[in-house]
Amino acid sequence: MPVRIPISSTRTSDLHGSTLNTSRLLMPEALEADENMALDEVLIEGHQWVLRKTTWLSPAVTLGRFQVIADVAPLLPPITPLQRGFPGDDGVLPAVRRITGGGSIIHGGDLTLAIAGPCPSRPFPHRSPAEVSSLASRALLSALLPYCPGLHCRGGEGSERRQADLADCFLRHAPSDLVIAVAGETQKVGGVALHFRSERVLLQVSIDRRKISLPEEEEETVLGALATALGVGPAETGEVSAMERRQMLRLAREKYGTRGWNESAQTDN
Amino acid sequence: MAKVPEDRRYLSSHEWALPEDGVVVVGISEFAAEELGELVYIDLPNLGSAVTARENFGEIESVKAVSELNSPISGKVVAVNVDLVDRLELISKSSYEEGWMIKVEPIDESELENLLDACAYSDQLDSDE
Repeated sequence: MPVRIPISSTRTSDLHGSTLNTSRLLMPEALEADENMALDEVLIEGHQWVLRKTTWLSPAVTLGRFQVIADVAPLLPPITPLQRGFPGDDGVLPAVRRITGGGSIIHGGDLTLAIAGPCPSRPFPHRSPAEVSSLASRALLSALLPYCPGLHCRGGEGSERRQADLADCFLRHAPSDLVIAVAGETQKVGGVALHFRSERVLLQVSIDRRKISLPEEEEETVLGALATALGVGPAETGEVSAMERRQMLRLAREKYGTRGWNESAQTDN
Repeated sequence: MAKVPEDRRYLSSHEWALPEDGVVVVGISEFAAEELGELVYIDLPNLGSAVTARENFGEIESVKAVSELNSPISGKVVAVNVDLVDRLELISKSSYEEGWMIKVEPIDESELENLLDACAYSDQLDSDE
């Protein structure tokens, strides 16, 4: 660990000869949980901004990078560490470890997005987790507000450390959370988790679909609006390349689909 | 303004390296510690493991964000700051002293010459702001 994945980049030049990054919108087919996490890590290495919808072939739980499965399992529906090629028992959700921080998320009914690109760069000039989260949250708010009146950023202060005992991401409070007020109560609609690699950042986003009215056919429009709000250039719908797919499958086999990665928060250095 | 001691070298990704009695002490700069904010978890390499210059040797989590830690030098890990396991705040309070992370027996200490000196690293911080 870690498995490194070099990827060639695509850049376009504008008429003035300077470099202009366009962003890619990806809406790939539904994938297994280990493949989804692997694809996000593949995309982090690209030079372009990539925004993609994550679709789950079957419901799964993702764990924050440092969550200990034995600690969180009693607080969640029945889960077992995902092991590629070994189908789990009925009623038991496979759990796959993310490379981003934060708490666990039950996927399948949520809107899951991933955003990856160079950092520091125009949308995120500093590698400050709080600042990147806040800027991303405001961009998400801009893209989602038409589908969720009253949506806003929680703001204020938050201590992730004091909430480490709360397994579920949606029970934790962070200033960058997207929230709505329901009958005087503030409810979390979505959140962002991050991973910084040299000169790169990956943001994984989960939005509770039950709290927004977003028709599936408008999801691509939302991704485009998110690209605009982030200011990452014109968004062009693309495909996962054959090379990216090979790297995804290798990472799924060697990392995200292994019991070792999904069970233990510590890497075997 | 974050402190940048002149007795060590720096990576642009904010790790520092200090040669000391035949080993190289590694940590992150005060600027990086301030940027990260409240620290939650850290994953450091095991004793005896190999690290490679400019490659990931560990990870640290803060505010739902995991950041990779890059080694300024290649070599073998001969000490790990186990105090950090229970006292992560040492990185924020004393990033250049008590908040050190690993000590590396270098393969080639001259690799340090390829890193930023304090002046160049300070210039980078100025240009980032």
